[in-house]
Amino acid sequence: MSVVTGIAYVLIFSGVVVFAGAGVGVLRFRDAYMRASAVGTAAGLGIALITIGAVLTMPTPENLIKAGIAVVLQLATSAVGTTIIARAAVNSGHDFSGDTDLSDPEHADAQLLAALLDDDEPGARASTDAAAHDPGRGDQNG
Amino acid sequence: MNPLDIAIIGVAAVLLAAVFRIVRGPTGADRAVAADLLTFSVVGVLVLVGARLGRMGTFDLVLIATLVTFLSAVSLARGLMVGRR
Repeated sequence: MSVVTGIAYVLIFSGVVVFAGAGVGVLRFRDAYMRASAVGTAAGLGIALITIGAVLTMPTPENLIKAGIAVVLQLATSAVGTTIIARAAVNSGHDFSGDTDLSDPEHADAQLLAALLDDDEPGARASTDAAAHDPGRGDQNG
Repeated sequence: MNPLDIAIIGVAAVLLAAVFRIVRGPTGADRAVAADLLTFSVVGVLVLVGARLGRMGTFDLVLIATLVTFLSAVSLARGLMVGRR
């Protein structure tokens, strides 16, 4: 087995593993939007890896050109196609899973800022506690 | 066993998973997403069988199938909207 064929098999099996992730996602995830997420990312990348690996098993110039165009088209269109399906699902009123955060995304920045400020408070309290227990500072105060 | 045979079996398993989800549903959106995965699986099997048989015409088919996959995704989305936009 030549080095190129070995690389081809590694790419093909990487693609099959990524693609199997999409299959497991379609079987196990709870609503159509999670499944669309799994399919849109994993299937596009998986097919691209499998195509690159397959073309390396018979690397003629014309095959490389055709496979290159196919990979570019696959990466460009797979995520767009799945997003169109997910958008149609939202617009046609399909339900989200019960634990989905459906709060207004326009206020997401304000919510994130509030959460970060809340996180700062315990840290500030911890630093004042550390200062209170610092013996050097205690001596200066005394 | 040729390593490509194992890869074909792996992609065929994903194809069966997509068929299972199309049969089970439960909603139309689940079926549309699974049908999208089914078209990707067919492209994957096409690539791998072509590489296994060593046919030079395989990548012509793959190029066309990639475009048809996108058209099928758009059609599935239109079908999900039942004619509305």
